[in-house]
Amino acid sequence: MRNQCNIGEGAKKLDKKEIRVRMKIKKKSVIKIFVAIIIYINIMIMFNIFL
Amino acid sequence: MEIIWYVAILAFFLASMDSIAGMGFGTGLAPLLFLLGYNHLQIVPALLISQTISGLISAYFDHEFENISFSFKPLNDATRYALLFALIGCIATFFSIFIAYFAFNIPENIIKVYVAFLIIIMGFIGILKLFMKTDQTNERIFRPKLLLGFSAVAGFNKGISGGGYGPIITLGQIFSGVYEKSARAIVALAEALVSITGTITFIIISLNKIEIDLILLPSIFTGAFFGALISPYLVRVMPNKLWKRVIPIYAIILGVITIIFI
Repeated sequence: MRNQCNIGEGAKKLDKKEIRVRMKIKKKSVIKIFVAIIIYINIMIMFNIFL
Repeated sequence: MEIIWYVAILAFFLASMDSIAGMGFGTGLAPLLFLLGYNHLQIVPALLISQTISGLISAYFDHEFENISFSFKPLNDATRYALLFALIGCIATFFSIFIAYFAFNIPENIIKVYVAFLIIIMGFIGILKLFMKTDQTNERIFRPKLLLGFSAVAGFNKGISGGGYGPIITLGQIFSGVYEKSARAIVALAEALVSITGTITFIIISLNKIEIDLILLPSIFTGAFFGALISPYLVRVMPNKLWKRVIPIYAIILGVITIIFI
């Protein structure tokens, strides 16, 4: 049985950094947020058609 | 189709808290919607579909914002536990439907009080643990067997009452040594997978000529979607010591709300 949990190692490391560093996100992540919003708009259009 | 804005705002707040604390979307939103005059067949399918999508989005962006690392090839511990919890949740869902529609006659209120008290007690233990040191190095001790025990309890509770799954899995993980930011992300993925099973069950029920009304779906979905989109970033930015306090306190609030609505 392991005594050390390796789940969330990245989050622990990130938590040790300053809040300014944690606030910054990659450009790729911003694009993914926009893609998610586009998917949301498409789902709402589908709801509008079918509901 | 129209968006009922007060429903969307309620869904946004509770989905954000669900994503942050790993609990409360169904437990909090369902009784509020009942109070607003909506019925079971309007609320449950909309909640299940919304939770499926919001859970997947929350888990995806938690991975993106480094609150957790999910990996299927090779399968890492976080993904393995999420799949295990999802499997237990799915079995429990089938079991709860079996209980609801077939022979067993268990007093519903007694079960709900038991689940609510268990959540409140676990919340208080979570707060007490804040004042206790784990060891001299302040390193967390991981207890996988304890984690399996909690997942069995959560599955049992979901099986007999249909609720109390998120709070017990989240707090159970924290008690077993999983980092708070990551514990709630694992629950988001597991709950999304369990909700898929629930959604499929409702589709099967609707095939048997039971009318399902999806009037609430666009509103709940809108709130849940944006709640799940924003929360992983908020969790990333704010320090873990904040979530250490927020999660057990929110669990106690949910337990109390559950008792009030019985």
